[in-house]
Amino acid sequence: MKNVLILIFGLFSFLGNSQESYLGAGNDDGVKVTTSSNFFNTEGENTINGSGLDAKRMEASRLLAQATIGYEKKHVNHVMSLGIENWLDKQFLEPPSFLLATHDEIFEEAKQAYDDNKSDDDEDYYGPWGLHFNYAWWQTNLTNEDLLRHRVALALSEILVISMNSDLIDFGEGLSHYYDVLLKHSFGNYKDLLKEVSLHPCMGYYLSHLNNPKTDKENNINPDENYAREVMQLFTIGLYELDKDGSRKTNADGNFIPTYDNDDIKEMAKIFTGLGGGDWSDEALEYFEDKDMEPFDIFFGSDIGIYSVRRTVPLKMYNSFHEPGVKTILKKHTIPNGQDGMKDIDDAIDILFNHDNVGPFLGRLLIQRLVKSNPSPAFIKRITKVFENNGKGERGDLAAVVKAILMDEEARSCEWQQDANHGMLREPIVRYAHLCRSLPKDAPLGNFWNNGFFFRELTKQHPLMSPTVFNFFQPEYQPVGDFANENLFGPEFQIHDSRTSIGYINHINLSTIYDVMFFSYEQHRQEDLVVSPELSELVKISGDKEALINELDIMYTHGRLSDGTRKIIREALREFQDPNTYEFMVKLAIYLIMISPDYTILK
Amino acid sequence: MKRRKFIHNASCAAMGSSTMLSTLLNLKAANAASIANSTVVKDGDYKALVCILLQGGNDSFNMLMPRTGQPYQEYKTTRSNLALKSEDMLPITPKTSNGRDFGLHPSLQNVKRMFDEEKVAFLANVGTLVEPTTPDDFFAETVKLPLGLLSHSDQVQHWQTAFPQDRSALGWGGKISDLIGDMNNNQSISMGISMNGNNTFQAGKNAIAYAVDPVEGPQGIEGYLADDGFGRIRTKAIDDILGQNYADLYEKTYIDVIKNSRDTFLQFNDALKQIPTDGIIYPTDEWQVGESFNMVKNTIAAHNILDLQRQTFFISFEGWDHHDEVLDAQTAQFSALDRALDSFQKSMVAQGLEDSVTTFVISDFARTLTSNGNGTDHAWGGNVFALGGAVKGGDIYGKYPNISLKDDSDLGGGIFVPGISADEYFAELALWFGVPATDLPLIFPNIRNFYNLNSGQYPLGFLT
Repeated sequence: MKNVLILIFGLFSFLGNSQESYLGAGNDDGVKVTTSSNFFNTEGENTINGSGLDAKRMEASRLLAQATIGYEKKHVNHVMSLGIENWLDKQFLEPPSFLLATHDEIFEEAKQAYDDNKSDDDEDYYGPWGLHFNYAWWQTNLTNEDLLRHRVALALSEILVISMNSDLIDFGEGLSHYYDVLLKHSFGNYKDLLKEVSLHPCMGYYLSHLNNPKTDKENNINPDENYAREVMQLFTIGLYELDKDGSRKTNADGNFIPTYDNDDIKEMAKIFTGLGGGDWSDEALEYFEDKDMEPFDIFFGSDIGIYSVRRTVPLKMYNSFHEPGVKTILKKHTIPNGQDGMKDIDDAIDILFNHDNVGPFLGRLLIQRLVKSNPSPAFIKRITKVFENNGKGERGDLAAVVKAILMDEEARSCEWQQDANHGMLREPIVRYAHLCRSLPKDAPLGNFWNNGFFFRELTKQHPLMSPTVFNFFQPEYQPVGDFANENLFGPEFQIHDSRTSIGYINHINLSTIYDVMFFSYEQHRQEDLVVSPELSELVKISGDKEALINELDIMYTHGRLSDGTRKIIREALREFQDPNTYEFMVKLAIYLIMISPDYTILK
Repeated sequence: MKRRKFIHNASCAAMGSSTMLSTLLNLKAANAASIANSTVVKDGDYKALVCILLQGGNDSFNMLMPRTGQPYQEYKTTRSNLALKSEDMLPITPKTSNGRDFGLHPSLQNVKRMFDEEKVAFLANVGTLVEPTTPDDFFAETVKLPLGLLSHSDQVQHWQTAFPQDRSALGWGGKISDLIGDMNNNQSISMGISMNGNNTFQAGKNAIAYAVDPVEGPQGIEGYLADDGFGRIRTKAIDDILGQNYADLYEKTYIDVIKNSRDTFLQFNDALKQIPTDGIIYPTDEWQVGESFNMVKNTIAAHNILDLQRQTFFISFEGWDHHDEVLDAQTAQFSALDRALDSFQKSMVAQGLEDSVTTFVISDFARTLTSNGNGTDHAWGGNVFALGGAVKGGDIYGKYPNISLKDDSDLGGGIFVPGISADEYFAELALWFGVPATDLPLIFPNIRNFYNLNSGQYPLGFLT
């Protein structure tokens, strides 16, 4: 048994010491305390082996469930050996794995394979489009080591939303580049991120401040208010004045105090006028070449759409299209007449970034994505403090904010885990990506080209595919029933309905029972068309069914598998007596864990 | 703390749910038997409300426009480069037009025909209100106003909650279900069926929408109830997981949705298999609005088999936030809507349910009359329409404002204070659906500000 266990650890490229073999040794008929320990010390709570090692492993696994999109056994061991804080610090230094270069390589490789096999009648290979962004996202997220950065970037992509549920679906390179901006600033300063996002051509297209002209009184044309509104409502300050703990301030009459009104939006709209493309796209250059024309110097105007604009170069200011005059931001800040338009934008972003709301507003959103749906006011307040000052006098340091969120006692301590309001529904994409990351995969070419659209169809979620700028789910969504009665929020439940909940289960069925973890659309790459989970090492240990369950408990439910669910799984596994059926048994065990609330609810 | 949790879980773990499943299957069998035994399937008392949300804020002053004379000239000047040409509009003649000629967007050919057939009624300048409001009230802040005016996330909620001074999670369709859900003989299927997942409109205190896929229909758990060795083990384990008692709020909510879905699917899918096709072709489109109406039609066709007397349907048609490219986008999207409504209405006639099914349009808000270059921004009151045999069509209800930027309801830039509150629109639909007038305030907390409950009349009179 000991040898078998060492074998599986070896598979996950982990050098276990012999103590590890205690894992799962206890056939104890379900007597198991379902808690993690406080991360500072590992109490001897573990009734299975009494060594405390499992408790450490569970705590590490729990941290990774909050701090990553998916992880392997080796990462659990990294966290264990480094300790949580050191692991986080190391993650901040991990070089970013950007998507664009990977996207370009994948596109070329897929195109080559297509061209090598295509007949004269076949259409040209299409793209790069959203599909190639999806390939790059999966290729990266199943192989990277900058796990925390990618988790934060995913969270940011659900705050600073653009979506391929628009013409952006045609621009794989634009989507990848936008995601890279999020990755680049995930541990940087929020103000830099805000600026770069505001000037990104994909955002300019999505919220229509690309080619937004100044006022034309004669023709009744006013500046577009779209970005002006959402940059305030969704990206920085929200609708109401907030205290540092995230609660809404009230005026003398007891009413909430709006952060802005429509006049403020009109003023802000003037700021975001005059932005046009930074360079011509390849398609536009080809067009000019066909027509034997020189590209124009200025490209501003509604006839120059996103197709003509290079999607990987920031927007440029065309001052003659920028609204002149003084602008008054949020009633009290004056932006003077006669500045360069880009300076107007800098000033406006500076004003928004320094608004008192940003700390609690952004802090709560990030806590909701990483740790829990209903953070206590005290938790938000602690994060606001870090946002306002990282300890070195810097405001907006996202690395400091992320670290503070994950190190907070509310994220870490065992006591909070018992709190009735603690926890969150894991996002479908995170549930699924963790499954894919955690298991070895059968992909001879090493290509993890998940098309993504299939998962989106079943669950209504996939990165950069939100239906609107309001994300897949909103921070104050209240599911029917007890949440609404107790005035609690459950954002992720917005996409948990009778259709998507079953869609998720059916994708897990496909990915486990039916061996199709995911598939690409590249018919010419048969080797990696379908990627399957490689379960042989789990099958090897499954002679000891309790060991199998314990193994899965650590990886997926960080030791939280309830006695009830454990018993249900145990009873199901008991039916598999012939070792030839163990592979099915393992598949069923994973399937049941993945659909159980023990896994889908992160505590 | 830990020990208590442990004990609690241990005691619950013993509960299996195979009994529950067999109860369910028995229920299903009983329903099937009673249907087989009944000779008359035509149910005299069936009503359905079909809500179509044009999500993002339909620029409805390019849906219904003044077509001739001074009103058209004002429209043309105000809307500038976004004005439609008079000769391109589909002319309509409302029964009570006060001498004004109106036109519909050129893509709305079937809607125009149905307007002429008096199946479609337009309502002018409708929007969210807490109490009757004028621009003076607005600026003087002497009335209570909807929260988050001009904001998508708020306004799209308010249209569904009919409680705009609050950010409520309960929708008026869901509240109707809570209130009169017992009109349905079959209590195991939600009154609300959604083509677009969770939505506020159909969320009640207890009511939760049953979400189906517009193309695939209801979703069942693959492999569940499979009659082989593996299938039996899996089915039992799934039932056991769903059957556990979950004390934790998140876990319970997660499981309840799946449980509800599993239970409904068994009946629903069976019923859908039994419905005849009506031979009417439904368009397909990139927004799946044609597909959605087709699925609604199928579900309505199954109402007798499922023994349902009252149903609400929700379709969200995304993509109306036209800050950009409003002209091209509306042309395509109105066309998709128009063709879908045409097929749907033909099906309702074919099923003999024309008078029993009322379709109504909602949208976040209208858009500014003035252009931002090639799009428009967020506004407030806008134009909507309702469709069905019960609709007193061929007319425009409410005062259609002047498109001159000088209308007395204009807040500036062509943002209108609504002349009709969304509550009046909805209360009329609710009354038609069977909600007693005296119960309206339970669903529409502000309704008394707009409507005398004892009047014995509909608030607006666009329904029979």
